[in-house]
Amino acid sequence: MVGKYFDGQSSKPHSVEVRKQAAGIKIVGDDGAINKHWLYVDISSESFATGDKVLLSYGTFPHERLELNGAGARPILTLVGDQESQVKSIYHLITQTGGVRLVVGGLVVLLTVLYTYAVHLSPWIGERAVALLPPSVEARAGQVMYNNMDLLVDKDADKSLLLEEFYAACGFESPYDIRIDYATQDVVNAFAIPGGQIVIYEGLIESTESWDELAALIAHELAHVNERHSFKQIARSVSSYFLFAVLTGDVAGASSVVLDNATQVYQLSNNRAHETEADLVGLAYLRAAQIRPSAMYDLFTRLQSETQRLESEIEDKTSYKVDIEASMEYFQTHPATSNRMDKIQSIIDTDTSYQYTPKAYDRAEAIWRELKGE
Amino acid sequence: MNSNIPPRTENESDDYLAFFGKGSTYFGIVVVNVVLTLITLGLYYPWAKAAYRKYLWNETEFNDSRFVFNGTGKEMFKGFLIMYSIFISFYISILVFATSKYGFLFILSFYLLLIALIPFAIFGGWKYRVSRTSWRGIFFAFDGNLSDFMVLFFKNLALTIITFGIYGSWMRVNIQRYLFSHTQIGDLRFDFKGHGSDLFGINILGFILLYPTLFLYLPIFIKNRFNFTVNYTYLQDGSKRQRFISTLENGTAWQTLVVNGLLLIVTLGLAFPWTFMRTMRMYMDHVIVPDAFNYDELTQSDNDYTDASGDELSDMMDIDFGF
Repeated sequence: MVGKYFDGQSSKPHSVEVRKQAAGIKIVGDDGAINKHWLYVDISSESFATGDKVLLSYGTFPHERLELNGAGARPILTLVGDQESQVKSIYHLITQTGGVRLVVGGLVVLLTVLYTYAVHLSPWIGERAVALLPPSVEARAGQVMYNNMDLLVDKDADKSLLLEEFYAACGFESPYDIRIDYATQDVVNAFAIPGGQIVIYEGLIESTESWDELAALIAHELAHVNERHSFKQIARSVSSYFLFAVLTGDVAGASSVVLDNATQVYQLSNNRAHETEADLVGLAYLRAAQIRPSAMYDLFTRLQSETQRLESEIEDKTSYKVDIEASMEYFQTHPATSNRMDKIQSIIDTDTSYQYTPKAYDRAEAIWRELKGE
Repeated sequence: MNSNIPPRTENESDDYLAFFGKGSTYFGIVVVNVVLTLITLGLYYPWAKAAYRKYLWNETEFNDSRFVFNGTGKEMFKGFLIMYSIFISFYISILVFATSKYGFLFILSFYLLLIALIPFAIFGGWKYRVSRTSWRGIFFAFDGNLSDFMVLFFKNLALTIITFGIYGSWMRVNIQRYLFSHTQIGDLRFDFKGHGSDLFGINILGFILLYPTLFLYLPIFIKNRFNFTVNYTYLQDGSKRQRFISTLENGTAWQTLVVNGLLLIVTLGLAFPWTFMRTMRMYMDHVIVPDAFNYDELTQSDNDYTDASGDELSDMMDIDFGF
């Protein structure tokens, strides 16, 4: 077969005749000036998944080179002693598969691997990464988050102390130093910051109708802290960001917007998984402390009536009838309250291995009454 | 294969660039790269990058010979490790120190360090890519000086900050001129003679028109930027100098890029191997190479250069100064 030979010193092409031999190839120039013998083991391939073009180089820098055209040159590639040829052959195998088969098969493989990564591997890595993180780092990072948030929360120092005393009276356990803030806004909400800081709003405390509902609320928030949900969230979004970074290496604009939205939806659902987990773990805390488990159920009844109150308020003001639960479930970070209640109720009903033996919590109950101003 | 290449004459203009990449082949490479990168939790990334580049270079042809990217995954993996250790130690120190009393000082110094790394990334990335590229066995070479480049970069950065970003167009042109004018193949040296004011005009026009036209102006903007780069790039050998010419016109750019945009939207981005190849072809097919030189007489001038740490950094920081 014919080809072009370059001596590595100049870009001048030399037309040559190439013959395959047992241990190598023989290269002879048309004008007789070139007469080379290349051993297969010392030849490297410079062509990468390119159809009929075969580019070979020989020796050390500056390499001699050979350019061959035509399908007849391809078999030489299987003989050369190229270190990276193993990997190259995977690319070659894939890219030489026919058009439609390659695209369909490639898509299936690609989507399967991406799905496995996103749904199984990425959360798993996230959890492992968080497990390595010392609680002290978490506590310090949580402190920074809290300091940034501090301005937004009007806290009542005396009532905060009472809440902390209430927590101690319930006998829950945590490896973290738990601090609880009483926020004076009339908001039906509470949240936990990594490292042990919990914030509970007055509106939520006011809506509780029994001391053990407050205990259930704290058990739920404590579960977020102990299970390190915030950091797992961060680790997950970092590892899914990594996935998209790999994917979008060369893609600009439109697709990155699509992927960005997909990440958000994915994170929302993760968030909800964590809320459900906090419900269940919180329930286990109540049981371990022999506090009435159905208080968790009752707590959600309060949340539900708050939602209904909001709905009727909207209805009064706008004369539109709304169903916040039904319309928002997909976009909320928390699962629909009715779903959470069903789940809790079914555990209380079906798990007969647990026996609730009421225990007196006089101190906790007294603090709750004091907080409620009763 | 023709055995007697006729001697070139000055007025002959058969020097051409062409791109032969196929979407389906590129897609195959993407599949292998994504799968291996995910399975190895990212460690395969440098090899994936080598694969992309080897393919793109291989499918680019000049005067009947393909370009070759000689960089390897192994080389880039070293750079990858160096750069990742720098970044990870940054992040750990932030985690440890940022929460202390003087946390803002640590965060500030982190950002300053990050900015200080940018010129290193541009310089190293360019040097690595250039010096690992060959054509007919002749390696491109880059003889820039890092400290000169640092001075140039920070002088321009200061002016850009003082002028609230207006000087940014001049900065880009100055960087481009530095990189190009220190790049050569054989005895041929590249140069860039564009003016910041021209680029500023292109950018301002883009800024004014992009939003009102709902980005339909984007292809024209891209074309203007491309033509600006190509038309002011020169090749020079001693006293002989000649510029590249771009023949890319509004219609072609608009047609190619709007179709690309639609394909990407319809397929949720999965068509990108095809659109990317279309874009590459659009660029390469519209470049006229100076015909004043005999490209059969280039001689080897550089040694092997394999330090890829700047290259990795430029990649991680999302800086691209490619042609």
